[in-house]
Amino acid sequence: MPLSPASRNNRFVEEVLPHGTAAYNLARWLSRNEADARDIVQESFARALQYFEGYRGGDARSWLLRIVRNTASTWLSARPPVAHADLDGETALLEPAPGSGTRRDVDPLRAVISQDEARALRQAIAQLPAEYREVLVLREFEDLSYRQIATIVGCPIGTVMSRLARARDELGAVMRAEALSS
Amino acid sequence: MNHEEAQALLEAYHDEQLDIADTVRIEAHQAGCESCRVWLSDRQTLRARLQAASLRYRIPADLDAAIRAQTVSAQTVPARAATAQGAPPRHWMLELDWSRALAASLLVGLAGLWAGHLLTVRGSAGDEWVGAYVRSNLSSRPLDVLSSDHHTVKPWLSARLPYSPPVPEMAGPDDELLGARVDYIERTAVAALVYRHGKHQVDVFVWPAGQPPDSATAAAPIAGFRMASSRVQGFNAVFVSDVSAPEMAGFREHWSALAAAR
Repeated sequence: MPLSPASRNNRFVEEVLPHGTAAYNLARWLSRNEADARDIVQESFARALQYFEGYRGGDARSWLLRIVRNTASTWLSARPPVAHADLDGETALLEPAPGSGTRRDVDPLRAVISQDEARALRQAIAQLPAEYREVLVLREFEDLSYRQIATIVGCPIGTVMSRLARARDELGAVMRAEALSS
Repeated sequence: MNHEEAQALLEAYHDEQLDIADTVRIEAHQAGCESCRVWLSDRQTLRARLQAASLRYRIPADLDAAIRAQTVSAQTVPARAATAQGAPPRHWMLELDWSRALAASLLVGLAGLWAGHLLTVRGSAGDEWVGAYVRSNLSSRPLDVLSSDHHTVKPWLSARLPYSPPVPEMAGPDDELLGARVDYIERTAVAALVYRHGKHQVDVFVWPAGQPPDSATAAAPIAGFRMASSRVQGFNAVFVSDVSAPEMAGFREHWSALAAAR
């Protein structure tokens, strides 16, 4: 029996709405600007509510992120690319990623970084090709598994790994260059 | 495991995506392989840097609120229309674009006090305003911008709305501007200025006259909350608070005079 709209929406509020930041973070990194990210997220939630009938429980965040990812690619292909991404905007809205500081082998002294280095990293990620950028964001900021990322992005697990490797190689190069210049 | 095999698995090892057998084999290999250890240590450094840089964007509070309102209104907007036409409130018609109309006897929000309140106070003119006022008082963050300076509040609102509302400061012993937020009323983003009046909070919703939402308010208090409205310099203003009627009238006069004088 289908759920009544009221209880469906209540379930949606409980299971899907808590992932607003995950959705916004992905949309923000894919669009590289605040205005598009807001529109993409709002549209994604409207679609998610529409498709919620087909959601069979389980990993609500991945389910939502897949919708965000598809909405973003439709949205971004329909409009011209932004002339310059507002990379330095919204710093007040940035938050520590889940699990930061708790990962193994992280030296707390080295975990303090300068504004310049943070900005260089942010720019380097923004300049990655979209297919590298999305896997990096999902892995590093959402802490998703290769399998979850593969489902969201719609590619084999091996591809997730090779794209992550390329993304990290590029960021590693940026970081070394930053270390040399400072 | 030879070095080539190990290299193919190092990325997944770094991400803790390997099964236990491969994990053990990689650890055995890297214990004796300097280049694999250096590679892994670089990856760990990069991860620590990314974490330390705090690059995850948090959803803006007003967007989060708009999405919540959008979700709740998907089930309650038709209910309001039915109520307005005089249909018995116990038989709301719920029209949703993905399903048939259903009759529901109860709309009890499991979505917490917030949604629950929004659902139960609907039904007559002014409910949305009272709902927004109560919601802001229940919320742990009633204000998105916390400032008694209109030079801070006004640009903050202008950046988020397609207009720039009047923001009288009302500095005085009894009245004080506390800040503002963007509220979502009848699917429209509206500026909500928040003042302290004595020991009460007064919310003033401001938007251009002639545009939605409907500025109709109830003369009688709703759930103990009193409303008033005014029109100043091309803007509608709706006041909501738990003050007495004379206090509300006085606040409304004072605010409108200051807004008109800017």
